[in-house]
Amino acid sequence: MLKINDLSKKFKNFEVLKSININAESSQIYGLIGSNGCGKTTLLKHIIQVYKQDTGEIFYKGTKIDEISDVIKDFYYVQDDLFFPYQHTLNMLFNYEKLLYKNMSKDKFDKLAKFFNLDKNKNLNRLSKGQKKQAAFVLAIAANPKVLLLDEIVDGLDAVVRRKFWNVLIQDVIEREMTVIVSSHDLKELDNICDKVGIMHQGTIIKEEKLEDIKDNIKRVQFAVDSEFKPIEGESFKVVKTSKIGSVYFCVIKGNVDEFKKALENKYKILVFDELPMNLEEIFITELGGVGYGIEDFIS
Amino acid sequence: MVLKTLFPKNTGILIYDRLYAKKNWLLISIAILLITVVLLPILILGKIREENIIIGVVEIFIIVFINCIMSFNYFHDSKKLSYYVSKPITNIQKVNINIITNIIFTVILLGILMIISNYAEMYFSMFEIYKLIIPWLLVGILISALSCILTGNSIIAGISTIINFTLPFSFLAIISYMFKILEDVALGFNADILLSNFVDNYYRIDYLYFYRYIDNKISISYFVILIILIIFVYSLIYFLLKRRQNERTGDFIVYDGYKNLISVLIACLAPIGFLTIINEGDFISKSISFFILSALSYYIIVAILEKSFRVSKSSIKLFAVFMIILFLFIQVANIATNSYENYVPNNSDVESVYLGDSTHIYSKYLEEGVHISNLDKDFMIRAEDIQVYTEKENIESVINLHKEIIDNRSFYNYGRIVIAYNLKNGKMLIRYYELDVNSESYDGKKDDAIKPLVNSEEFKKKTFKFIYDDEYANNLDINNIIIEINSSESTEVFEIYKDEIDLDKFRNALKKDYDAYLATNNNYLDLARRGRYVERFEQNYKQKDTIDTYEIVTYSIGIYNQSIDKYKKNSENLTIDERFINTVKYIEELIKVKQQ
Repeated sequence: MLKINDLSKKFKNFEVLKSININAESSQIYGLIGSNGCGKTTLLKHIIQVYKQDTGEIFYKGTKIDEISDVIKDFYYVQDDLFFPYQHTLNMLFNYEKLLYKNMSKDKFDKLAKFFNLDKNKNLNRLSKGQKKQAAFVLAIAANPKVLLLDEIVDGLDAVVRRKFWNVLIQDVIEREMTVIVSSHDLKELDNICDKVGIMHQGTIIKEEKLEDIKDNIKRVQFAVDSEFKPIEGESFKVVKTSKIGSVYFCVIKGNVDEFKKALENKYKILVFDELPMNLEEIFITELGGVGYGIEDFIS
Repeated sequence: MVLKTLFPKNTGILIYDRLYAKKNWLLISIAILLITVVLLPILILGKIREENIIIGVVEIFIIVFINCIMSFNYFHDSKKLSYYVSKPITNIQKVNINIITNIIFTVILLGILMIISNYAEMYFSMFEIYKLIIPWLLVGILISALSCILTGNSIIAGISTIINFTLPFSFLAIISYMFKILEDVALGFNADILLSNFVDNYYRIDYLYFYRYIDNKISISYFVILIILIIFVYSLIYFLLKRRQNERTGDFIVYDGYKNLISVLIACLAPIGFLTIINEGDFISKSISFFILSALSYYIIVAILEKSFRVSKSSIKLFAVFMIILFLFIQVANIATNSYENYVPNNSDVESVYLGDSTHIYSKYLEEGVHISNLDKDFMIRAEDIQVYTEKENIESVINLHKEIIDNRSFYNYGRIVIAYNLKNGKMLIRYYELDVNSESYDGKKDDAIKPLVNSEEFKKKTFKFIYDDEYANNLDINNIIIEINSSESTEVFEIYKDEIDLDKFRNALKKDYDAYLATNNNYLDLARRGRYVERFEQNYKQKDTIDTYEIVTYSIGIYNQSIDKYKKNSENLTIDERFINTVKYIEELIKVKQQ
């Protein structure tokens, strides 16, 4: 498993990462989500040792990671802003990377290239953005890494390719007990595949939990009561947000929804009460709203 | 263990892969060499000449330079950097593979040039060139790697490579200017002498850049220096790479320390260059100009490097510290040299003394010359024809002159004076003075101080050997004497053969006239420092009057020998005028006999 303890980094006087703590398990896809410029890419580049942290440590299966540690040889990083060496084809790049990654599989590479319908002899720099992403992904999976870091990997891919992409990834995670950290803005995509998410904002991880637990802990309810609803408080729940459409109220509840319903029953006569699931995007907006992000109204 | 850290297991294959990736670039490079060094010269000249080989060498330098910057330019692009650094091979291993790839690339090109040179019309051995360019290229490859690590932009990396490669020369330029400052603040100190002494004894740039070995055989020092240089530059690469902040990729320079070094270097070199070109003004005006130019160039370079016209507080602090250090240097130099500039040795401490007007002393007798900073006891003894005095009275005269110069720097003529004491303790004490030729206050004490020396036998024998050195004159195998009489109206030439002249009589006449001339001539200092006849009737600065030299009849006497004398001369030239009455009378007698 990959563990980050109290990692901090300053770019000159600006603190980009502040006491980051992350725990990504094996056979798990870890979703790194966050506001723009919150430091997701910077964090991934720290894990792969492109950047060096000012303080804090990164461990993989108990071994501390630095540039010269052996375990990092099993890490693979696919960056958002892709680079391919000048005049290299996918075949050429595979041959080069084969010299670097000890587990690089030719068989897997060929199968994946075929699966994604990629021309292995075409100059990589002449491919479309989506094809480049696929090429980079093919190489990453063919390398059979133990830790795979994917930065905005599905950005620019069409829905069909995305589906193929996630299928390959999930299959590989299950088969090889790989740890995957994937950062993305497309929260709907991550919603379906992540085991765990870390929500980043302004250089800190404001929440890190299994997606399942997060969803259990935060719910949206809609209800109608016999008189005007006024916010209520309870020890085991917290009303994060309230809105009203017609006579129906919508509340986002953190904590025990049953307790909330009981507290509601004590004060009002409930006419209608429904519990609605929240998706990752809604959770994300709610969490960031809690720290004051995106709650401002535009005043013209 | 160390090798494992520096090179991955499959280094050989990786190097081959990198070389293969460079194959097109290598082929183009070979094509450039073959076309410009072989094909075009043969087409145009019909042969390959050595200048074509030199062009090839220059091309190799340019190709290798570009190739190195290209190899390490992943340090300057965030995308590339992330790609390469994320791969399971350490930074130092990547750099090492690139260095070796570039060295192999360079060796291939040098090998091709070596083969070509076998078919060229060469006046020197290719080995002589390779003695210089191999270490330059080798260290150059390492320096370009270092420069790419230090910078975050490829163009700046290229500039930085050149700056780093020539850094010892930049330091030398700054040190040279410091000596110039010292020359201005300390009487008797000469920047050229100090610099020459510094370069010859301490700052051995000739060893550092290997040009010492062009005309000399390669010794063990050649390899020792090369190894030290490689270890030094490579250590910098190693340690700086470990501390590189990759997030600063895109900045011109990614290390603040190096940025500060470059800023201060430019802030020094720009005003030094400007003030050296102008080379005018006194110490105060030069100092103020230096400060203004330094501040301006510092601001510009910091603005460029920071990509902002707002200068940070730390930059201002650095400049202030730099200026304080410079100011302190001047003050300390001034104080430290005070005791030296007024120092004149005791006569009893001096073994011999040289007096002249040039920082370069040439001995025709030895057929070799030395810079004054390299003048030593051995040369002073061996070079019998230079103005070195050993007699106590003459040393005293020079000491008196020296004291007078310290008290009063005014003079009436082109006023360079060099005094070099050979002390009994084995040391040399060298002083250089540029006297103020525009001074109105000259009162002639320097001439008075040196008058005894000019009238001494030692001076006369050294300066006018034919007249005063009997042994020398008697051993001359004279063939003829040519006398040219110049007046405002005409020039007459007479040739007198050996058997037509009584040499003893002629020399006695000259001796009487020269004794009178040396006893009464006012320009003693000129006579002493130049060591030759001074045209007596030119403008006499001392007396502030002018005599029309066109009204004077002068006699140029050329004494020609059949063979070269012990001082490597085969002639002696003397100039006299109509006031050398004994000599003129004898010449007239000779001409009269000749005309009969």
